[in-house]
Amino acid sequence: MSDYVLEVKKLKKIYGLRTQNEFEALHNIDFQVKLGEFICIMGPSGSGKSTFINNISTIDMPTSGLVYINGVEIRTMSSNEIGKFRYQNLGFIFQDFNLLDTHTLYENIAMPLSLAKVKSKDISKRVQAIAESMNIEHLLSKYPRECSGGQKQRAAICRALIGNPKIIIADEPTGNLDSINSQELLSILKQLNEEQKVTIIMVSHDAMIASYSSRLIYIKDGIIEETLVRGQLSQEEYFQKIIELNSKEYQRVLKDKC
Amino acid sequence: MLKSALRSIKDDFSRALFYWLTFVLTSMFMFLFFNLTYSDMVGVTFINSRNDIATFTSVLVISICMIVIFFANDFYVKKKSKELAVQLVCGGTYLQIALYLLFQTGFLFFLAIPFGIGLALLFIPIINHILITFFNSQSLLYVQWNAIVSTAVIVIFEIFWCTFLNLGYAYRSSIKALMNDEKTVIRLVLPSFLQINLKIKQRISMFMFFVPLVLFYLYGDDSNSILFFSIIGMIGLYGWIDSVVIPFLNYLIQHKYANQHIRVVYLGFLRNDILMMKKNIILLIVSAILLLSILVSCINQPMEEILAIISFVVINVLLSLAVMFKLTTEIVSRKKHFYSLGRIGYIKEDQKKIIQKEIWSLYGFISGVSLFYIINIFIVLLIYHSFHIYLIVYMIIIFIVPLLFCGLISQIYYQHLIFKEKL
Repeated sequence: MSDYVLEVKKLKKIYGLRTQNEFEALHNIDFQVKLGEFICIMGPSGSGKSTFINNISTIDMPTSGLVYINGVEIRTMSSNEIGKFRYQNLGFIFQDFNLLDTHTLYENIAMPLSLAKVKSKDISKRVQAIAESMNIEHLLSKYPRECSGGQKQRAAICRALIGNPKIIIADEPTGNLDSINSQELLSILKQLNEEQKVTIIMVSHDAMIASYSSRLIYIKDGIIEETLVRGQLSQEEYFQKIIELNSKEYQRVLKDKC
Repeated sequence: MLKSALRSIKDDFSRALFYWLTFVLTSMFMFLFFNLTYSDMVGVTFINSRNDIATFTSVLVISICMIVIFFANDFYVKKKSKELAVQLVCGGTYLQIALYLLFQTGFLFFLAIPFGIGLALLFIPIINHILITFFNSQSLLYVQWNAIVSTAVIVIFEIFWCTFLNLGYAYRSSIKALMNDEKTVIRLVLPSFLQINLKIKQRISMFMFFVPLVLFYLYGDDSNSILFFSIIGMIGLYGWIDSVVIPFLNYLIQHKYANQHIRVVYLGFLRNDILMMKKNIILLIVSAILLLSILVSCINQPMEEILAIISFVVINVLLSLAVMFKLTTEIVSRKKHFYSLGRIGYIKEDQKKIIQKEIWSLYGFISGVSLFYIINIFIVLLIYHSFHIYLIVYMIIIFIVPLLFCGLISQIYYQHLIFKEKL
């Protein structure tokens, strides 16, 4: 049995294969994640961060290479198994919340449990409990359009966590939040990671947000260009390192211009 | 601007085709209709109309045509909001935007008129055949100059009406809103002394919905009474949807079927659709009842009778189209929902089932509620010998077929949008 919850070998993603617009977005990436890691993926716009995250989370299928989640290679699964695998193992949090406007917050949060065929009574208890932990229990009968961005993101987190997933995939989760709500979201993720050993893989542009992670992957032009491990560094020291890494990239761009 | 307007039609061909088809149908119906009303037996003239059934029916049909075009236009323009925003960002003025939209509407409209009139001309012999066979009428329908003029006047008015609406839409909406139409809605809460208990609301609405049905059987020989009781019934229906149907759907989603993943999603979509379609359902029933009352009052006057029957067909087709356009406008925003469902773990087969069940539950609900009321009225008319059983069967078929057809089109469009078009 592998030590990794996620293992990627020679991952390649080509868009528009065998067409005039063929474009290789990811080039032979090797990547491993251990249980309970908090990983941040950074990189310039168009570097392949979202493509990478989609390909390691069963949302998109790689053109070649292998992706193992909990030891299971995702391409060996049928679409039925992938669906089941998603709600049993993965929780997604997005920048634009991706809640269903047609359903109340309660119904949105309960959806992964409906998929898992949990009994109605248990669904109610679990939704109430998780909503209380996120301070949105008074909003459960409201529709997403009646809530603020911060409240919607909390509901999205509840939906991502209610099935007790082993891995949380967060794509720019603070992108639509103000600084207070962003800090609060990160504290929640950090707490989940430390206390419940939930593995988190998060995409972010923000160095401050990235400093909450235990490992940083810097992607550029479809390859992992650099990796930073926090180790024994304080958050401030780690933040400085991330800033340096980013500024190195900016300096290179400026130099090329001159 | 004109070039980009043409390109916009080409890029969004399926929507433009829907829009064009609405213009074809409305101009066909209007042309047929005006020929009927201006015929010798009905006798309305372009200049001197009278306050009789024919004039009243004409106003009703034209109004419904306008409403359908309004929905079709909404369906066409809603997906163009980003295009309009780009035009505004690039420095386009509201006048240019108006011309951009006017050109698209006008282009599709002028392409539609020959088809509409051509189809109407094909229908005239069929109507004449019905007049001779079923009504033993001596007077036949023929193409009239007045009908062409009236159709042209209404058609041109419609073009400006649509452009005016579109311009209003672009003017009212900021560039940001056009780019991203998500906004926080604040639900209005009435002060506690104005809030009515849900149980009381349920009882009042049930009373208003069902009691007119009993009264139909008591006063079924008077078409005005049927119309009056139906209006009370429709007010009841409006409240019944809010206080009975929606809470029942909430119960199903949150309790009874909470662990059935497909039902949870499609019932939620259905709840949203029903709330959105409330006015359409009521309009559909009221129009049908109104035309039935007209039909009762003009029995034994062949041309007016056929005018009422054709109006019944026209209005049902148009209102079914209005339901379809309203639904498809809503469906455009569902693409994101299905994307989220995929991420949660709903596979493609689940998503297909959700679409199918949502569409047929909605059309089933609309047909069921409408037919429940209309069939009761038919039974009353049968009891009071106003209608023959064959006519009733034909009219039920006329009522249900356009709805089923629109249901089928909605399902095809829905699946195409979710599974074929890119986000």
